[in-house]
Amino acid sequence: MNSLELSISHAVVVETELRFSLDELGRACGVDASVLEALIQEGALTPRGDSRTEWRFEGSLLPRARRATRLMRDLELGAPGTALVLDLFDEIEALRAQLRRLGG
Amino acid sequence: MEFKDYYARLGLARAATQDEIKRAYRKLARKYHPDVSKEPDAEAQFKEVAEAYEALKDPEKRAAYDAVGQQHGGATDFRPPPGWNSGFEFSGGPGSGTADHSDFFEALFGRAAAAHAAGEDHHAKVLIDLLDAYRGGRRSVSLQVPTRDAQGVLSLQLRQLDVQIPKGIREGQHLRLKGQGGPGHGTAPAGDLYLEVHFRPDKLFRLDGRDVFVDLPVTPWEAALGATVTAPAPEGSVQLTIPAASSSGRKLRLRGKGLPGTPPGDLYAILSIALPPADDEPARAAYRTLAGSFAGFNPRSTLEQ
Repeated sequence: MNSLELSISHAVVVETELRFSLDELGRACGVDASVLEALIQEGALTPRGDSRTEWRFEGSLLPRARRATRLMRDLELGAPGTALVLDLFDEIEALRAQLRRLGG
Repeated sequence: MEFKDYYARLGLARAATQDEIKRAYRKLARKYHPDVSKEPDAEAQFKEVAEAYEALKDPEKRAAYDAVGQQHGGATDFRPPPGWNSGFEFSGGPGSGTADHSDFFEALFGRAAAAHAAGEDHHAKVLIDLLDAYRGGRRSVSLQVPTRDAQGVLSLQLRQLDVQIPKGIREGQHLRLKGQGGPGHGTAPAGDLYLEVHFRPDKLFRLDGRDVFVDLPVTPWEAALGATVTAPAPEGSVQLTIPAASSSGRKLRLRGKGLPGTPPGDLYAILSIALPPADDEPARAAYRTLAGSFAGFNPRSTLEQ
């Protein structure tokens, strides 16, 4: 293993400073935009904007979109099943956060 | 090179039907998928299961694998015979999805070809300290990047990146470094690099979003009578007033002393009452005096049925 390069990069906080277009979010998830469109149809991802070309996704949706597309690919889930799994994850995470606050 | 028994990995006999292969994979995938699994080593386990499925789910690939397996017999060391796969042509290409296969898989089925002209976006996790988020500033992170040379030989290269950590970054947030992902082909732009930020576990402080929590032991008399004590805070210590009649578990809030931001988070000190040990006679006498003074106190009165 050898050292490749030293570079200095400007980092942008995805959750607070970025909005994705449909294609950008697809690229970040490594999937075709049509996969994301199926999730949008299920209400599992909600963009702002009226038409496909105007859609903008809050940066904070990136982890959700990545998790959803991983599950679809690896567990061969359809969009409706994935939407249900995401809802359950939301619930688990809320419960875990509550547990952490209680020092658990 | 190690021969991979994909049937064994999925718990199947060689005569398994395509349906059985699919069922076995899905069951194991739900067990080991890093997003849902609590198993230790889930990620590595899942990778093997996924690779086995990728080889067996496609009848063309499966036939090629079976042919190699027959020649190979039972030895664990495997060398692909030269030109062995000239009789096969894979309609699906070398595979899609995660291009993260074992050497064995790649020797059989080739490497995943780059499908896009533009470079792929890459993702990695980085660990920072709590103080990095309080202060921000440049931090050097090391990433291991699988890189292919001109001959297509894969090796891990260490890549050092200097990243400006924004003040107030929170657990689980992502940083995007534009153009630091996979290289583009020809004149196409490089992909971006996403870094998922996590904090090294801290001995004292716990995090919940922007809020920071610390356990603060106090004496019984500090809790009962009130006191001003020194409490640890991520950027140094703070003076904290314990109100009289505090009980264990009481949360004292230091507004704005959590992670920076608009608004900044709060720092919570959670009181726990520490009892002095009764390990000599004067200490035991002191406890007996206390018992005498509080003869009517019953901490279990709320438990009575």
